[in-house]
Parts: sequence; C-alpha cells; structure tokens
Amino acid sequence: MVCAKRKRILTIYIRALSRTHFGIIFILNVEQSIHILRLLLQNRGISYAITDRNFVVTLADGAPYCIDQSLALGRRIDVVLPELIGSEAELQAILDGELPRLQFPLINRSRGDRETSTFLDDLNAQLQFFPPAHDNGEVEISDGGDSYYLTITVLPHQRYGEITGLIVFVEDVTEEGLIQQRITQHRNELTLLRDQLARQNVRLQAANRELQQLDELKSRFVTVAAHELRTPLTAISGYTELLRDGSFGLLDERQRRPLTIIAQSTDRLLEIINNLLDVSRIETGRVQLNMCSTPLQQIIRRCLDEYHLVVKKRGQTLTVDLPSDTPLLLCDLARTVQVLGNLLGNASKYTPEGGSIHLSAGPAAQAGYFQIAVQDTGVGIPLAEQQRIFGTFYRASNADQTNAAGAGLGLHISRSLVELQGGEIHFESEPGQGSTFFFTLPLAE
Amino acid sequence: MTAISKKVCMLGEFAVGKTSLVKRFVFDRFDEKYMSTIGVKVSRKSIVIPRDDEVIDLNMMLWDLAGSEEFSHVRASYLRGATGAILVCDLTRSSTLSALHQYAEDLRTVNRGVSLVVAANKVDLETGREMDDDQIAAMAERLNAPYFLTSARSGLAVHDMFRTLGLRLLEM
Repeated sequence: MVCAKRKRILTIYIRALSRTHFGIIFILNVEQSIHILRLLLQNRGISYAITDRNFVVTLADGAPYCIDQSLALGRRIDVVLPELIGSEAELQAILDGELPRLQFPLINRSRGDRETSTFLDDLNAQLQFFPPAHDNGEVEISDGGDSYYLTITVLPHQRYGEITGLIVFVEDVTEEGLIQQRITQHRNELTLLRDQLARQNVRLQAANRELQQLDELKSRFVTVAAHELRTPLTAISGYTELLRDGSFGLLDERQRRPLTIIAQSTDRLLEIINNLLDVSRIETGRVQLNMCSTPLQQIIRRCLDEYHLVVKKRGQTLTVDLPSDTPLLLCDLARTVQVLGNLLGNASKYTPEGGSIHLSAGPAAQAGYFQIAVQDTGVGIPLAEQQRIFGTFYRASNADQTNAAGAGLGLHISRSLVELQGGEIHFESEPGQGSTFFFTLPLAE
Repeated sequence: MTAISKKVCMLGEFAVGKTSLVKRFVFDRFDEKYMSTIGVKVSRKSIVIPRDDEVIDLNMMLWDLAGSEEFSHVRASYLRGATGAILVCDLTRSSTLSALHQYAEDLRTVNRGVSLVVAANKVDLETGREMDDDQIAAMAERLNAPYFLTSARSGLAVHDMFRTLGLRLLEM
C-alpha cells in the first residue's frame, strides 16, 4: 500500500518536472528518487495537490509556500487556493473529462501572505488560506508591494483510466513575473507620457491657431488704420506746403515757424504710419520686392542725398569709404535705400552733436555677398538689450540721452527687408563708444 | 446569515485606476505611485446585504486584471467564472472609455449574463477631463450597466459602486 502511494507520488513528480523541462532523472530506487525529486520541486518552487471528486485535497507536496501540505489536506481546493473560487463549473468540467485543463498564469501575491503567522492562524480559525489584513475581515491576497507570482494549473487526475479527481500544480514564476512587471511598467509609463505629450501638442496647436488668428486680425487692423490715417495726413501735408510756399498769400516769419513745425510733425507721423504698414506687410508676407542688378553707388548716392543734410544739421561728420571697383548688387533699390537710410538715420540720432559717422562697403566673408557697414561714435547699445534690438517697438533705454525720436520699428523692418533679399544683418556695439551695423546683400553675378 | 461567494473582474485599459479602486474598497487606502499590474491580483471583500427576510454575506472575490495589451491573450482564462465586472475608464483619457465595449464583449463571450458596472474614475482631477457625463451615460446604456463617477483617491462613490454591483449579483 505504502509502496503504491510512493510510486504515485513519483509519477506526479515526473509529470511536474517534465512540465518544467527539468531534465532527465536517473532513478536509483523509489525512496531515493522521491527524496531527490521532492528537493527539486521545492528548489524549483513547485507544489501540487491532488483532490478527490469532491475537490477535497487528499495529497499535497512540494514548495510549502505554494501549497502547504499540513494546511491543505482534508480541505477543499478552492479554500486552499481562493483563486479557484468562481471556477467551480470549469473544475467540474475537468472532472467530467470535458475540459482538458484550466490555467491561471501570473497570479500576483504578496510575500507577507506566506510569511506572517497571522496568515496561518487565520487559516486555522477561518479555514481561509489568506490572512485578514484588517480587523473587519477584508483580505488582500496580493498587495503589489513585495510581490511574487504563481501560475496555477489544474489537470484531471487519472487512475486506471478513470478521472478520480484533480491534480493542481502551483508553480512559482516570480522571476519571470518581476521582469515582466518592470517591462510593462516602463512601457505603460512611456505610453502615458507619449499620450500626454500628444494631448499637450494638440492644445498647443489650438492655442497657436488662435494666436495666429489674433495676429492676422491685428495686422488687418493696423493696415486699415494706417491707410485711413494716411489719407487725411496727405491732405494736411499738401496744404501745409502750399501755405508755406505762399500759395494762399505771403507769410511773415512769425506765421511760417508754426507751419514748419506742422510740416515736420506731419512728416514724422507719415514715417510712423509707413513703418506700421511695412511691419504689417512683413508679418503677413505681402512685401513685394523688385529684385534687379543695382549699382552700389546708386544706393549710396540716394541715401547720401537724403541724409547728408540731417547729419550736417547736427554738426556731425559723415565719411564714406567705398572700393574703387563698386559691384552690382542683386536687390530691390527702394528697399535697400530704406534699410541703409534707416541705419544712417539711427547713427545720426544716437550720436551726440559733433560726433562722426562712417559708411563703408566691401566684400562680405561669405562668397557671393557684399557688405555695407555704418559706424557711429554714439551712445552704443546697452549689453543687456543687445538681444532685443531687432524686435518690434523696441527702443534702447538710453534713447532719451540723445532725444532720439522713433517708434522702435526701424531695425525690425531693416532686418526683415535684408533677410527677404537674401542677406544678413548684425551689429557690434560698445556702450559709450558707438555701434557698427553691417548688412550683406547678394552680388549680381 | 447566508454566505455567497462571487467572482468579480476589474477590467479596463492600463493606468485607469483598477488596482486603486480595489485598494480603496478593500483597505480604504490610496497610493499615489502608479504600479502596473501584470497577470492578475485577487482580493476578497465581504459586504453584508439584507435581502427579503435574510441577510446575505456576499464574499466578493475581486480579480484585478492587467490592462496592458500583452495580457489580452490570457485574459479569457481569468474571466472564466466571473459573475460581475467593474469596467473602469479614466476621465482624462477618452480612449479608455471607448475601449470598454471590447472588454464587455470579451467578458460576455466567456460568461453570458454577467452583471456590469461602469466606473469613470479620477473625477478628483480638476483639469484635463476628456469626456462628459453624456458620453459616459451613452456607453453605460450601450453596455446595459449603471455608471459612477468615482475617485479612488478621495473614495468618492467607490463603496456605492461596489455595493450596487453586489446587489445586482444577488438579483441574478
């Protein structure tokens, strides 16, 4: 009788081990084999239980933390393994030969479940396998903290060709489980992060679209307002000139002075309006350029015609240094004159009376480009502000030192116009010593 | 007092708060740290429900299933024998609501006549909500299930939801 039981145990061990691909066992005799195989099962974290047809455990062995033999014998298998509660129909189907097996992979339990004494006490007291974690009898079979993982497999237990009950294997798969948990954790966190970024991106795109619409609205408003302002201003300017010219009767000096102030203010207002229109055109991409081969001298001459009087009025010296062989530039003449005029105007405005301005030109560092430079001995640009001077409506904090007027649009327009023509603009400045502005334009051929 | 055991599955996409809802219900506890579940975690909670002239001790076996896609091939084996399920979505991720239909389908393929409850979780998060009550109600109606706006963090509606499912399980 004892021998038959041991042979049965041996058969079960071999079935268990063959499932785990453990290898070949050299059987010396039944006693030794059972001992060796028991050690192997315990070492591999495998246990098993055999039940009768009423699901009551009649035999159990193996790793005690998977199924504890002393606690399991004589109890229903779903009391020993509560994970089987709810699977009564499937267990019955196995008994009836209708279901070959039932498996629950990667059942997550907490290490405390098998180590605390309350766990065992509770089992004895309540015929429940797992300990109550709280006074009110609630049980968490696994808490995700110090986890271990089991796979439960239920098979029919046959003797002499008849199903006499169930054989339940419980295998510790913690190593695989923990690795899989880490991989899943990282993947899930990455997926959440990706989704979060995608949602943030959508929100930013929506905000961006809204800002663009507002910007377009602002540009349209500036364009309309500037046009509407310019129309009456043209009339004011024209009639002021006619009054000054004496078209409506001769004026004495006392009458002429306020008209001169009106004319100067009107010109100033017109310049601001034109600048606003330029900014609006630049922002909406509506600047039209007439790019053609243009002699450098023509650009310089037109600027000097306009600005030498301005410089002279302030008692400043303007010197020009051009190469003897002046090249042809590929640019829009009017817009390039506007840029150079703006730089000369700034140089004069920010240089005290008696200072000097130097205009020079020469090949740029980049092949195929020519560079024009405007140097002054003015107040310079404070270091902290040098990053911002090409922005719209930006005026240097030391502008008041020189009573320089302006809306802070000139450099922004200049940079845009240079870049639209394929060139670059930059500057060097030493506060208190002066500034030099450089811009490049492509050579025509 | 009559004791009845029922298997209840927690279903839904990963990181919607299935484990947190179970933790709140069973232990009245909440962990801020997100820990992905793999495989399944089984917890038990007994609730007492009066019915007619008797009192039922309903032992809910809560199967907290991994929401990650890589476990979908083993999910069917976990679903066997379940008589009820909580379908959980995250109010801040709209995709988690639409996914519930497939989870319900999978469950009903294995167990016909299973009772469902929808939990729209993380209602405590004030910003980033991606679904309104009407959308949740529509999904719940489609699944023939009541729905609850829950917060595992604060505990809002968590017990009511499980109790509602318990009552439905006893009506079956």
